Amino acid sequence: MASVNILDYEILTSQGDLKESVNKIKDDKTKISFRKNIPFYSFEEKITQNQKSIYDALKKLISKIVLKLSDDSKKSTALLVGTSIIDWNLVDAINSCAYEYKKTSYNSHKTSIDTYAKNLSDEFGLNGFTMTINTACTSSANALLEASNLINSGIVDNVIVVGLEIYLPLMSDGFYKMELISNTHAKPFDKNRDGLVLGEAIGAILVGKSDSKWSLLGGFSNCNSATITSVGASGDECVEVIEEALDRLKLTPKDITALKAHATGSISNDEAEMNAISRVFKNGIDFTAMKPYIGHTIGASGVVEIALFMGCIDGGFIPKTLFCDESISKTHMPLTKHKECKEGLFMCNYFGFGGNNISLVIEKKS
Amino acid sequence: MKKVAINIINAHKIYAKTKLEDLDEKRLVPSMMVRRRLTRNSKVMLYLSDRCNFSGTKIVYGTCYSELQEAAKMADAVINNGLLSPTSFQNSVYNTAPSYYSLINKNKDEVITVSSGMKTSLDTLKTAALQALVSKEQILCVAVECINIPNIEEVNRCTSYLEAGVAVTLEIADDMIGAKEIEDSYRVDGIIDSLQDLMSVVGMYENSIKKIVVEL
Repeated sequence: MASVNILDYEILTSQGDLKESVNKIKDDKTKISFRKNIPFYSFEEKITQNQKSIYDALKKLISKIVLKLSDDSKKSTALLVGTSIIDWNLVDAINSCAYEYKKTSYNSHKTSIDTYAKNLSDEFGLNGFTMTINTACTSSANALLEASNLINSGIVDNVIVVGLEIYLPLMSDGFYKMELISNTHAKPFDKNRDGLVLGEAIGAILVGKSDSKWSLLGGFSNCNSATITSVGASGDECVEVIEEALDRLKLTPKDITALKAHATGSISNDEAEMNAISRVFKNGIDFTAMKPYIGHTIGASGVVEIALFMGCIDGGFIPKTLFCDESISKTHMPLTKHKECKEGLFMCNYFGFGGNNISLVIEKKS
Repeated sequence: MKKVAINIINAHKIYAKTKLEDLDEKRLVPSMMVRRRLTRNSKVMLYLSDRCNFSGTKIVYGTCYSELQEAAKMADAVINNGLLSPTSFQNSVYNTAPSYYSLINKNKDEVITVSSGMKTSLDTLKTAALQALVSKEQILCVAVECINIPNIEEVNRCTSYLEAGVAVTLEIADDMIGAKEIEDSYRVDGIIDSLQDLMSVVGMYENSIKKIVVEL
């Protein structure tokens, strides 16, 4: 499997831009907020739920990356979006016809979910190849693998991979009503964990062949679920994807410096993931979770968590896992203190709804 | 842009004004418990994959409107403080149909779900061609739209057929010789635009044009 280099990355999370988010993690100053009395990691400056507002936020973020590209590079740069947000014209349609007591006017000329990618590509003079992937929690992680395919097939030289997730009442209320949301914090791998906390974020990663200290070595994505929503408690499905990723890259568990877990803080998925970590990394591994800092950003989490993790490594540390006081495993415990680290091989895992699972490996060379 | 040629191995399309009947569910999904949970998109996808005799493992699935029926049920429950059905919540994500396919067929390979508005089936085809190019394997490329929900007539401006699906199995061709561009003349009148590009490919296949150019 041929690798691609990670040339640039930017994020906007509830904690601010990349630098602000990393600094708040380092200094233990991340904050959680609430939406409709439900814990939620919101942007400091609200991005309203309409296409223009979302587009403007994406444009501002991506312009930081595109401005560094030459005109020739732009012409060979594709743009992929990974998101799980529902199409806004879909929401409008539902609003207009599903609730019989509350009719609203419906404008059928609204643009669709892929419009962000196509319009951004046009606006920045990019190559024109766009794709919008929607595989729940693994959306933008899958987009990273597709970007790698595009580059290694010689179709484009660079790809900007975007992760996008904005607060959506339907999704937030849905998770809450299903009693999947914690009333306080996500506590990944802790014995007293009681659910996840959602968050909004956007992120962009530029991958290509130019030299860089960071690279995406590759990984493995599949669709295999014990049920339609989750992996089995044994962690078999997680083990499968982790081991296949390692095999394809000709790596062993010992080669991995540290692991960024999916770690939602939910009862069943954490159990499955911990079982998988214990089984694959029998001799132990430094592992951590990003969600207690920025929330579960669903479709954006692939890009945003990797970018944030890289930002922390660039800052010289692997972040600790917040709120894990007593691990559910007797043998494996996530990091309880920030750990100094400046380079190495890092595995990033995502295990999502519908059994879409993916394991990626990134590397930072000194 | 790079052009590649794909061989269409099998193809099938299906559509109905209101509801697709006889999707052969009992044979395709013997377990009654699983069958009861399936969404409309899932049933159509399972049917199409069977009609295409797909025996491979890599799938690219596309949908513009996703699981509209399940999303509407969920929205209604949230707004009215009603009981939110766990099944509807679980079934509301875009990748529900291929996930059920994987579960039922014990398929454990890569599955990509694409949503690109009215260009969904074209982008699904492009993604499938890319997958075929990289993996050298056969790919199932399928796109489905089922939007038959209560009061849909009040907002429907885009289709005469509330349930429709289209699928091809494809592989990368060795060369471009004889490969044809997708021809709009094979579109099916009244079908939602998000499916039309793939409908054209199926139409070409039915007219013995089985080698297609895809621009990546």
